[in-house]
Amino acid sequence: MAHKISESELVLMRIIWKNGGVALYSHIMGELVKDRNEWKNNTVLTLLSRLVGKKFLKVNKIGRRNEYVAVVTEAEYQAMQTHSFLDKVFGGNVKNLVSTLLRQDILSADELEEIESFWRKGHE
Amino acid sequence: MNEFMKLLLTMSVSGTLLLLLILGLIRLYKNKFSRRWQYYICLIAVLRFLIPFTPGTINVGRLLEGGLKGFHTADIMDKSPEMLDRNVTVNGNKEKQTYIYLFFVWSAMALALSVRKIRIYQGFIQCVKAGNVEVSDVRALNLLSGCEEKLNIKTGAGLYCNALIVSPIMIGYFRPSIVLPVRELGDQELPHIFMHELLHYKRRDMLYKWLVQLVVCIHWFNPFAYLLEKEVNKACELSCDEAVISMLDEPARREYGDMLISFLKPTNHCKDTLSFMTLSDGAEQLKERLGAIMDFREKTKGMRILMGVLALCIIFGAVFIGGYSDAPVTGLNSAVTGKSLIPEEQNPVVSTADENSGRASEPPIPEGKSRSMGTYIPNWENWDGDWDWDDKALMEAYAACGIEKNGKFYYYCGETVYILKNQRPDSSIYLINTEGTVSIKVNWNAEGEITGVSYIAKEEVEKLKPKLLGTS
Repeated sequence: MAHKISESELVLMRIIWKNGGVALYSHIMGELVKDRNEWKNNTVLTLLSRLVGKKFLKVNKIGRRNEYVAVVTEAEYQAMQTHSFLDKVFGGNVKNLVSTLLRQDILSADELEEIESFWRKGHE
Repeated sequence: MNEFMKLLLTMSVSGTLLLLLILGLIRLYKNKFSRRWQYYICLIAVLRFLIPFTPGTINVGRLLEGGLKGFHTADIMDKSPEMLDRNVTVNGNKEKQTYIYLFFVWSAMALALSVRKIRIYQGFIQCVKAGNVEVSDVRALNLLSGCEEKLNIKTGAGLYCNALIVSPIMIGYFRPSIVLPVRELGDQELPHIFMHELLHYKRRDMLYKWLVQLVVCIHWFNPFAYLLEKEVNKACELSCDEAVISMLDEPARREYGDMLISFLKPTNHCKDTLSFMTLSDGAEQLKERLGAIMDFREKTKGMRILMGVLALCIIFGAVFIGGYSDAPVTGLNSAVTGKSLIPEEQNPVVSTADENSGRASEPPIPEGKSRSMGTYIPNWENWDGDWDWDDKALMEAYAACGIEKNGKFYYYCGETVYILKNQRPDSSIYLINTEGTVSIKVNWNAEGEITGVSYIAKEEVEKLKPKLLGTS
């Protein structure tokens, strides 16, 4: 999947994922209003149809209402993004990524240890 | 083939005449008439160029028919029997060849032009699409949606930006997309751009422009077709500007003008000679557009009425100027424009009307059961065009004064008719039957009534014979 999701499209995807991967248009609009996003109807429709075009979403017509179904789960999307991020920024080198995380204090020593033990367990 | 070429030529001439009339009016009332009027009035000329529609009796077709005779004495019937004499087939064959030649030149050119235009457009669209990047900025999308709501457009237009173009354009007819150049565009400029482009979409300007392109392809030999193209392209932008600024207040109008100026840059990297739906093209035109914005005034009621009346006049003009009248088309056989109706074949002489409608080989229609419905005589204005030898009303009129028809032959006082002359105050129609023995003359008055029947004198019969038989 070569297409990328833009930030505004991701907002919509998150709403759908949160709703269990399926959401009606009215539900999406409701959530947007709750988050104080003043998005106009056509704006949302344009973004949704782009997501459909990029095969991240599927549309089911229920009567006159549209139901949007996520084709890609949140985990799948995160995996995809991590890979592309790793490739782009760290040239695919996980060690560099981890050292950057540590240096920036995004990852604490404790957390690193936890990961290491998790990693070893996986290999035993 | 030659009928087709004549049709084309007459369409071109009547379209040109109408266009000149319209352009004259536009020049006269440039700032008085709304730009929208100026834009859509050109559509009448476009349709006149395209539709071979011929209702009227006075039309260009007839006039042209007269003019054309000068250089082609083709195999059509001439106006008088005298001219008929020198109307020979040798000439006719040459003419036919010329027409076929002309037809091929015309169609090759028309085809080449259409293909070229379509390919240029496709290339342009491909070029633009390749460079398109989706605009995901919710602020811009919201502004676009706002404009769509204001204009009551249901279809959401796509929004892209593109490094290859320098001025905003709209592509796609059914699923429109607005493409913006890559540069900082503020909240002030964006709504104006969106309004302008969305109005192009709403008014279906693309369809109009393609119609004009069709005119140019078909009438490529007519310089006025290119003038029409230029005028429509200009009027399109001007009227679109007008529509936008009519919704704006004074300071917003100035912003709109600023926005137009800001896009006056060198041409797009995607070549598009058709210049579809671009926002601005050329300094010359921009000056006019800015002038129009400054001059913008709501039209007074009187002006509106005048515009409406003039539009109606032009539509009527378009209808009556006609294309190629169908009369000369059939004139080949029935001599509609002439004063005499002369059978073409010499020997198995049947009534000419039978030949015309290709029913010569059919069994004779029984008396009283002729195919005619309704009345016969009423169309005296154009009587020779409507002369139907089989008409029931005509039979009855004949029967009332002693002329009977049996099968294809006419009988008067029990004798077979040789020459039957229908004499009207200003013209006459003949029928000849070589197996006949008596020649008669039927006198008609202007009201369509028979005033009397008489025998034709021998000298006159001798004089008529060669003309009617086509020998001299």
